[in-house]
Amino acid sequence: MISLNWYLVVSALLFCIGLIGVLVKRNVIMVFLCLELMLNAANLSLVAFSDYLGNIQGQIFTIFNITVAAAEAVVGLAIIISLYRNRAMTNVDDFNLLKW
Amino acid sequence: MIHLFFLMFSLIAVIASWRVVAAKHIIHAVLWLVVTFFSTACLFVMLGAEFLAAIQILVYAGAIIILYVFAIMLVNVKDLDIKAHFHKHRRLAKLLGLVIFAELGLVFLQRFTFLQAKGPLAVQQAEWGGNSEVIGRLLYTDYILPFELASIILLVAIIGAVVLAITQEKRA
Amino acid sequence: MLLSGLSSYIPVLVFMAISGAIGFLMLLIGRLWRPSHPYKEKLSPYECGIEPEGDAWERVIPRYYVYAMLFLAFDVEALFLFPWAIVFDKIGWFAFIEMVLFIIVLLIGLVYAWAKGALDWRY
Repeated sequence: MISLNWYLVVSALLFCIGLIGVLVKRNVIMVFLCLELMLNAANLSLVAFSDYLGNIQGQIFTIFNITVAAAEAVVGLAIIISLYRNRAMTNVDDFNLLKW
Repeated sequence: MIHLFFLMFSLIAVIASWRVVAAKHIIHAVLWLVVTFFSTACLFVMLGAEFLAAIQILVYAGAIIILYVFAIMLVNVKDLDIKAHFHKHRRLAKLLGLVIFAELGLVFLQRFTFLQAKGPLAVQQAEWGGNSEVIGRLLYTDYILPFELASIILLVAIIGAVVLAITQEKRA
Repeated sequence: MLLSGLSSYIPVLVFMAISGAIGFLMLLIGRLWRPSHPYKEKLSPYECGIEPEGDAWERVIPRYYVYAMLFLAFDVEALFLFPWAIVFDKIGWFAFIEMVLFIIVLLIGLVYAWAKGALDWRY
């Protein structure tokens, strides 16, 4: 029997790897990929709690989490594409102007 | 046996997610992300969330990753700056990540030790059928408002992406 | 519960193990057996016998992105339709009206994309 702690530790590890990626990467698409990693880690801990507390709410929350992640990916990548079209760059440092 | 599988899937997830961050090429990062999502789906199955495991593979590993691959193909890969793809402060970032992981790990190892798996959820599922039935019963009765809001979020996403992708194209 | 619940996944595991082993063995045996005489023509990417032209990393036009985006939105809709379809006979017409509202809201998005011309294929 695996205790809840180990699921949470795995989730924390995934979350921190994603966090390091978000902080370290320069490419916007890579930053987005690492954000997906962090969301995934949060989903894992929600599902683990849902199982160990005997409460289905965590899983329902995860469904909405996935929905929001999908919407975020759609809009975020559209923003990246239109930024790329205007400035031909995909590095985070290059997007330092909000008006153009 | 169950420990072995837990160890295997969580190791695959962690190593693959590390490869996502350390990948030299962005396409490799995307493929490693698919591996991470698959092993997380396996962990979901072990936690009794079969519906979410299927959704994880269908929506995350299927649709969202496809969207990322499209976005990568839309930008010129030569502009993606493969060599200089790290910030200058990467040591600090790694240190910060380690510190946060140490904090989270300490909390997670000390707390929640009293919880035992498979309480009322297993009973509820036995009465109502499988995992998907339980989710369906609650999602469409207790969670009407979030459910309808989800459709609004998707609508906003569609409209936003059409505006960004189409009208920009017309102007260009 | 844990054992009885998870032991039903043993066939899936056996299936995964066998299919993985077959793929691995085919590659391994092929690697051991095949003659290896690579030369430049053979290593070049195959384009139906025509000389390969340009880079493999061509940019595709952004038109594709709109289709992928709409696919994702309706994929998430299917996520919500599936548990609804399972429990539909137990929770009654209220859930039906809910789902109709949900689909109508998403259809507004589809109509918008259509009206904006996101679905016609121009070059």
